[in-house]
Amino acid sequence: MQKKIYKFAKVFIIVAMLIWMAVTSFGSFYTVSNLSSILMSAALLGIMACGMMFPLLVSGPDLSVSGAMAVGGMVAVKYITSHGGTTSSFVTGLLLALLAGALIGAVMGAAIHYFNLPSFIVTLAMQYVLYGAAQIGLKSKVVCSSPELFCKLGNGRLFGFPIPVYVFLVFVVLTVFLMHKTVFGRKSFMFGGNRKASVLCGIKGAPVAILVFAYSGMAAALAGVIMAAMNQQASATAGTGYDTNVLLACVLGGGSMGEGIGSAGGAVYGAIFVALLNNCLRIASVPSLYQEMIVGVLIIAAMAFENYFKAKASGMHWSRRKKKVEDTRDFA
Amino acid sequence: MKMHMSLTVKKLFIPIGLSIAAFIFFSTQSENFATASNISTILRETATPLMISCGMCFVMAAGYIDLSVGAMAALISMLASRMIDLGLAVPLILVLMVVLGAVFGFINGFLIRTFDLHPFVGTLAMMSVYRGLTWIFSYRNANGSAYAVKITDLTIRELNGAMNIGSFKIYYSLVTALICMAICQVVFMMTKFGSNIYAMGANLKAAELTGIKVGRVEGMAYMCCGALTGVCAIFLLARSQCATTTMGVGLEFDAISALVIGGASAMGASETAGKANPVGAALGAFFLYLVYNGIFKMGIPTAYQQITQGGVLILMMMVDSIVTMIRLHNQEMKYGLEQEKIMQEELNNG
Amino acid sequence: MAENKEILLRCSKIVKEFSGNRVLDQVDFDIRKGEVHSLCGENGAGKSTLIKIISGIYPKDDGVIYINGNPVDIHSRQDSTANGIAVVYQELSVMTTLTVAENIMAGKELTKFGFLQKKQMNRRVQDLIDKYDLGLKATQRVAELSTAGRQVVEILKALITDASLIIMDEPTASLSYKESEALFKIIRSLRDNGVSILYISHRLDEVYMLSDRITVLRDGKLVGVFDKEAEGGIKPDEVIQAMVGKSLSTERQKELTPGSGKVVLDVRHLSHRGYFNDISLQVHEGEILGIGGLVGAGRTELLRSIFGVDPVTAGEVTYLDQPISRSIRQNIKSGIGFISEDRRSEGFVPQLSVEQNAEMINFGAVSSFGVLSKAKERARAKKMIEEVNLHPADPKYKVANFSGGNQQKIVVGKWLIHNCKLLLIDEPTVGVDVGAKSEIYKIIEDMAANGAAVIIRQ
Repeated sequence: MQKKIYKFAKVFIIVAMLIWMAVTSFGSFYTVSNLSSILMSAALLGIMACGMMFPLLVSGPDLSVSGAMAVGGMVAVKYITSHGGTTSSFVTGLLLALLAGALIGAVMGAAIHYFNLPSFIVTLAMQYVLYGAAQIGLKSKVVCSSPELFCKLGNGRLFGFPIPVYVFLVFVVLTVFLMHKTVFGRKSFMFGGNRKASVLCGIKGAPVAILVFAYSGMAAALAGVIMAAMNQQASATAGTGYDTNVLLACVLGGGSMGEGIGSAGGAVYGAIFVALLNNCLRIASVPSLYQEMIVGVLIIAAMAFENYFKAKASGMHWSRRKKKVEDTRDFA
Repeated sequence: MKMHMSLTVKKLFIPIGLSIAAFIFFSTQSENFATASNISTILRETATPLMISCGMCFVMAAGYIDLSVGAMAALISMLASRMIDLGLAVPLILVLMVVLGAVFGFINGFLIRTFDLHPFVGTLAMMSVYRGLTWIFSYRNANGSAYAVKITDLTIRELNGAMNIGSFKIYYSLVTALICMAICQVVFMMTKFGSNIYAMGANLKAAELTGIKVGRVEGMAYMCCGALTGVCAIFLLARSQCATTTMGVGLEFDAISALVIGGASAMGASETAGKANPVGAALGAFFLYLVYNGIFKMGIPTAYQQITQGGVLILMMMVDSIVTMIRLHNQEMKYGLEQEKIMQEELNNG
Repeated sequence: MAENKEILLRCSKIVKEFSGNRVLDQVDFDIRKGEVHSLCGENGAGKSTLIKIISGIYPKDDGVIYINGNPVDIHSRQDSTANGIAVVYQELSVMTTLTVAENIMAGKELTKFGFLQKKQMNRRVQDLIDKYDLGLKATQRVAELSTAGRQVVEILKALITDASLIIMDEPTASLSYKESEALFKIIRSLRDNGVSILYISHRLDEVYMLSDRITVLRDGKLVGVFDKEAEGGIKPDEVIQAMVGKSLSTERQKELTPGSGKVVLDVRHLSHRGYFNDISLQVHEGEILGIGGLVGAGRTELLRSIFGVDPVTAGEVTYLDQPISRSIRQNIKSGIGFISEDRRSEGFVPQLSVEQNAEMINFGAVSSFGVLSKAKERARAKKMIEEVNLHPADPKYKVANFSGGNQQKIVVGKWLIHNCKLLLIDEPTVGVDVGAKSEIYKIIEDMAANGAAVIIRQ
């Protein structure tokens, strides 16, 4: 069936990219440092993609992730540096950053749910607010090189793999668990899939809507802290360019805008794909704005494919120009 | 004779009122706010986003959106800069800029229509594409970094000028923007095209059923949006006198904000939603830039402007939402009372 | 006025099949000029399909359609409009932010060099309104009109195309008594002006009152045409017999004695202003209470208000001797179930599986501390599938892929395994095939036999 071919194609493309790289630039691609770089990038993207998949199920993508990254990094670093750079300050700083991200997300979720606002615009607007806040809070770059644990978070290794990868793995497990194995996750799918039916079955929409955005905000803040750890500084422009990449990752992972379709595994796949792609492009000396352009094209292509399969499933022609006759079950 | 004001007209009082309030507030906060030259500056700033707003109005009123306009403007400016280098005649370049805008707009509309893309995501992606293209056409060093080149043509630079009326400087860009606004308003109020756009925005399915060629109208709307973006690009280029890859960032956002303040409903058409309209967008844009300017004059750092940008939009949408909910509630109540009266009559009549 | 009226539209031997299922079997049907002709039949009899063929939405598989004696080819909505046929659907598709005139003239605007001629359009629409005495203003915003007013707008949309045949699909479904009366006046006025009306409705009293002729379909075949002008006029019994195929006393599976058990639900003077007023009723354990009535809109609203979906403006409801909760969640927990009439938008989540839909109303039963238990989920789904005889019996199958009848079984099934004490059911067998229909009725009867109280609106 076509769906199987699509799934196969997804894996195939990654394999193809790996092979292509082996053939054309073996020396620069298959080095420890480059592979680590891919892994770290995938880790950051992956955390945010897992986070973004949740609100994507319920109402739409959280486009404020770049801003939340910056704010997360800012909160953590500012706290650590103003409290002596000790291990305990690191832990508290990290927790504060996560809390900040969650709160921001919760506020967005509440506004979107209670006021019936479109999530795209609200999250986009929030991005501006967060950028502004980060710029105010970080008038100058705040450098932070202690404590040890903090630096380790960004640059340390365990069994040869960068620490962020482990954080990512833990987060993936958490996301898979929440999304597919808890009542909350199931409610997210239901509420996104059919709001009216969910309400009639007693599912309360507000906690779902608020929590999904809180999760996404928290994920972005976590990514921000890791990035600050990697660079050993917090900057307001830390997250630029990530929002479209994370969106692409989610779209490739099968996420559809607010219709209860998506999966944590898909987010992981998407993150790996995007990280790999960006790296390949960089090795091929394709400059960053060009990369952005390719990301844009891919988003459109991916969505077009998704729509094609959705239309096929419901018996309509993909361009909607010709509609197949409605099924006999349709009429009364 | 009683004047019945439509909802859209009533909603115009919001930006008017807000502008007056903001004006009074900022005048008290800083001495050189309420001067003729500052007001001229504010009006000048309003011009470019207003042009984009007018274009955006076409797509938003029909229920779509175009987030790529800022990047589009940058691309058009860059291409124009290249055209100047090639020695094309200036009037031709100006026309081509508008035409290019229409073409890019058409591409946006085409992709969204053909692949049934969500307008937000589709145009967000196209934004990346146009930015990338801008970079491709930019002037670059050997190592690949872009630098800005001052355009050599003087005539275009002239467009950046102004007329003096009393102690006010009325910039040409403002005049053009107001003309665009007037034309667009006429189109919306008095042509079949405009009427069809509102119909689609109100209820796409119903509009389709009445025989309106939805695909065609959508394509035209995106083209108009692109064309107006092209016009705006002319003045952006004239103002900065060099095309850079970072031009127009955030322009689309201001356009949306201006429209929402001016009465458009961002959550799709509902019973009591206002319609996106150019005059409202003008008032909204004026209010926005009034506030930005005021913040600047107060010496507050520009980062707060960004916060304001986002915050105002969210607040306005919440206000619009509350107003809509209240109106719906009142309508329900009114309907309920009427029905009750009818039922009472039925009971009485046996 | 009993002259032989000319025939406007004639369908001859129309056949339509859907995946091997003959939905219309050699149907002959005709409508005269200036008559009100009703099309009756149970759900699934083929009425809707015939209408869709006449209005160009479906192509027919065989047969001929004649208009004014000439055979015509109707392949699209435009074709049927060109032939003078217009449809007023049950779902109103109006553009609320526009005026009445703008709605009606949308797509047909009068323009001069691209500019709208608003005055002329308003005049045209107002003339049409006044001709049939419809009582609207062309410049009103549709958002301010009631449902009845919006329906008049829909009718106007049909009239402006100079239709000679207007098909009306369940037009009084959401109208009050007085509004329905107003509609009937309009219909009569249209008929007297030479327009033919094809009226589809389940409300037989309206049909008897309005129609000049009634055509009855059953199982895709024409079973009878009843004429007011015939000897003895239209006999309701005969019409019903034709629709149902047997006399009204249908076999009952079980003998249910009403009013014997405890009072489960006690409704006293319940009102929701504008929708229903001063309703009182009681339902006992093991009893199936049917609610019917002319004012159709009120029945669904009553059920919804009891359940907590819609508000209540006056009166009280007592459930199991306690005042009923206004929270849906609470009501479900205490054993009240609700089946909405529109299963597709309110009954289930289509892209999720049977298993996942089954647990929607009570996550507690399949989880502990918020974590889902695969074993419990599977067990619950298995139980449900068995009890409703779901086909195909695969818990992982997506609900969207089931047939209408099986989808409804899923909807009913999830309440069945919830062991409800009170079930509020709204039109459970809309769009369900005959086999599934009887299975669903049996399920409901079994639930009542096990002690549940049921309120059903059919």
